[in-house]
Amino acid sequence: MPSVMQSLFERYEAVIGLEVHVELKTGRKIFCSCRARFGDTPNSCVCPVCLGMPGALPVLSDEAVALAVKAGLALGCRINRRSWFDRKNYYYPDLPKGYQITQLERPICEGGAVPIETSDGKRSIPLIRIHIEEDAAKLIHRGGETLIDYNRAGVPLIEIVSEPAMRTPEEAKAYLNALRRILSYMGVSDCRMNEGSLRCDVNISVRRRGDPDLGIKCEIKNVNSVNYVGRALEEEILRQSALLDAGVEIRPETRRFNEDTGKTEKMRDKEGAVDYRYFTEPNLPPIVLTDAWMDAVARSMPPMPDEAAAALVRDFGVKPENAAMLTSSVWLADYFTRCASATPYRAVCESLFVGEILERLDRDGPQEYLTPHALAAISALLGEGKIVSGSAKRLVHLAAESGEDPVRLAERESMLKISDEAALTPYIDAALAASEKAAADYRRGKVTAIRQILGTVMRESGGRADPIVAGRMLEERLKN
Amino acid sequence: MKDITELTAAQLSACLHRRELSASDAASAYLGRMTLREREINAYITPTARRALEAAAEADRRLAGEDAPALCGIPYAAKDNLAVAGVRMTCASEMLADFVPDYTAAAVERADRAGGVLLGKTNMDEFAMGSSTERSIAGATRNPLDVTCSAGGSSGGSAAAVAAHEAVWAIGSDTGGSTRQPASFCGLVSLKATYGLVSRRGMTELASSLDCVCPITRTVTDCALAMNLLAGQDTGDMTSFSSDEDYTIGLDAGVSGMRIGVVQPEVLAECEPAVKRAMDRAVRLLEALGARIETVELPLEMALEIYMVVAAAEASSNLARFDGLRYGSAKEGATASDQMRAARSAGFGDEVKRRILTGAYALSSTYGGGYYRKIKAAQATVCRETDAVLGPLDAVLLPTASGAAFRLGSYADNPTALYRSDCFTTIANLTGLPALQLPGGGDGHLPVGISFMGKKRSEKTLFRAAYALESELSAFLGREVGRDAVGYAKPF
Repeated sequence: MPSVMQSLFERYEAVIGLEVHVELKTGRKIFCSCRARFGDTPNSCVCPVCLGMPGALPVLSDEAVALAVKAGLALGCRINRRSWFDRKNYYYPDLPKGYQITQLERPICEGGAVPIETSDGKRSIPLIRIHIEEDAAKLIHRGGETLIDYNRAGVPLIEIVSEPAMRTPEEAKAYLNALRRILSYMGVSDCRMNEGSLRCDVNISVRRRGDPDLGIKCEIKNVNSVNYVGRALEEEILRQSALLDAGVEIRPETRRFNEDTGKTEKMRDKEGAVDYRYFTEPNLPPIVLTDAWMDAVARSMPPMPDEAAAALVRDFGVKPENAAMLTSSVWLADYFTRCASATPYRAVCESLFVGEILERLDRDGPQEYLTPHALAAISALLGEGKIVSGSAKRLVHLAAESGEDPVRLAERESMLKISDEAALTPYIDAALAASEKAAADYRRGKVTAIRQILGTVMRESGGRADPIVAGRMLEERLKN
Repeated sequence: MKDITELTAAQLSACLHRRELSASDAASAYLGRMTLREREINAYITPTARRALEAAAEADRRLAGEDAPALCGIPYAAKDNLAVAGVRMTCASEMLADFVPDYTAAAVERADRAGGVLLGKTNMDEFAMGSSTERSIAGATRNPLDVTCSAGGSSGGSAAAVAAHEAVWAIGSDTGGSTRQPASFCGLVSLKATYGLVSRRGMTELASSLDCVCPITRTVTDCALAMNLLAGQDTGDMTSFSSDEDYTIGLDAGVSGMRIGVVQPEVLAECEPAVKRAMDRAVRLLEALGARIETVELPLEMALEIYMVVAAAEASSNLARFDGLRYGSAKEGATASDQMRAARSAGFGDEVKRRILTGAYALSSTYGGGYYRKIKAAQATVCRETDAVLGPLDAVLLPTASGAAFRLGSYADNPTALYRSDCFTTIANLTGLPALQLPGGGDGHLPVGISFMGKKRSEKTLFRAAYALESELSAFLGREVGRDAVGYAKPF
């Protein structure tokens, strides 16, 4: 790090708070039954309610409320048994009704914290609140014109607001990663930043170390990857502390992160803030959570992802680094657990699952790629030494695509190892005939020369020859 | 034989169910009547003749069977702020001049499902803001009882259609008196039910927490029949609640033993003499029928003032969606804001702009600074006080408007003076309580209205009191109320 920057970092401290918007994974919009899914044809999932047609009224999705409460419970928030919606009024082309239905006065969750781990150790980042709101439409700027895709209008969101409790970009990144892990594991959201199901606004101010007062903050809107959040923060800390160092006052601004230049740029001043003319939403009665409803949600809560990962290590001998990956969602942890339970060859199963299946699930979403039974059969073939590891990998995909019995597939595809002496004899004969020099070397006492001959056997048999049997047969033949 | 259009809903229903008349006969008679009267009255913005004839033919098929609902085949009209799929809905505004919804309001859905025959969409003040049905892209509606006078508003088209026998009954919307006042000006009956009893889905919102979808009818009995059809929970309106009442049962149980409050005499000081006489007459008749009368005090003045703020505030938000992007004619502008400003400046009339500005000001944290919070607290006080007054009573009697219909154009130069004419009606919207308007007599050719207001969900009590009074007054008013036919109408 150049010494100027280093000196700035030593003298100035950042105060960072994040506002994270997360799309709730209900599959439906929050106030109507339109489908909510990434990648649908623009404006194909719309109705009078999400288009804000005159007279169309919102009907609150119970499932969205349940997911918001789940998020709150997972993050240790206080759940308000009575909360309500407010209208936030402003004009923008992406806002069909001219107002957004959100929660201002009484959010559904308050307090709570996100546990993080950085190079400095473990910390807990406290939360201010989580509230429910509807998403706006998506503006697509193309050439000189702007198109509006209303598919996103009315998608259920929660906004998770942290205390300004983070001090470094590393902490902010760790916070985002921890939040993503918990929420996606709980099935609250996909948390895909590239698809916009998790979006992050960053609030940051800088002050001289030791100064008890907060500096003037800037907001960096809609930063769309964890790495960009880190880079935007580094940039902004540098910019603000350099300004302070030069005796220039920071202006409260809304800024954006330019991914091409790696710099933050001013969008608008924050002074003269918009007056949102909030008032209680009259079309929706307050959300009142009964004991019975709360019990049902609490019962449906899975263990926290860290506990689930620890259980995989403990019960199935899974490697810790794999356990974290296998607990990225409840569904995945369950799928893996069913696979691992179906076979005594757990290490083999784990490596095939992580090596071959995970990637497909990332691509195709949560659907069972291969049945636990089939994976168990392949694990047994490999574990018992009947096939080689390369064949096992190929077999995973062949079985998944054809749905056929892996053992029969392995036979048909000639994957089973050749350990029968009669069947191996032709390969041995051919290899010896082709390796006269190596055979002579061996007989002269160069024991390692046998490896070359065995290599020929393996190559000629397409890797299927059982190396132990073939090696023994070669030794016998060379002795005579 | 009488002209078909003279029959009340109850009478026509009996004729249709006895197959003395067909729904198609009735629809044709009304469409004919519309042709005769519309040039003068201007009750409709968009007639739906073809749709009406098709609905009538379908109603006739149902009436040939056993279980046709009471209002099957009965022609009705709907205010032009209620969506009907495939039919233009203008809300009397330039902003929606070409807007055709592809969804139907719950109230119209219910009427259609019961075999109702929609004759058309009726005139109103722009976005239901007004009390005279003069501020409309379709021009003013004239009062059928005196065409130089206003039919009231904002549901003036609905009231005029019923009074001119251009519809048997009509659906309107009442946010601060917008069905009761026109019903009073046109000598008709209208019930603003408890907030939530009738679904608002598909009604263009004015002030969501105050809006009610309401029937306007010729008689109390017809009003009860209409409420049977309109009332009930709708999963599409989370503020609606369930009801399985039959409002036609027990109408004639009388008022003997009822405790009825009469609004404080001071408020009558500003009313026309005819209103005072109607109130006195009603009190005498109720007493004669065995009701106990006592004077009460309602916070009418405070309710009116709070109403103006709440209604304007919610309207300013509800009308924000009309930004020229999807409604109104798109305007040129350098930025999206410029385009919206241009579209809204061109698309809205003066009264709408006046209320949007007032409402935005009241909600503004910069200008209002906690003002709206105080208004909502004051509203809660009005509710408490009114509940306390109604506690020991069955109903309160009060005027509907301070006078009979005024001449068209009376308020052209002084638009805000018209706000005061809502001083007896807004309290029911602000408190969510039911209020039923019925004709109370009048001077000469123009009637004045009186209202019963009651506790939450006391619609049946109000119907009973109004029915008893209507019987006594009918001779005086010289109008028939179709009592002969009640027995024939099947409950819905």
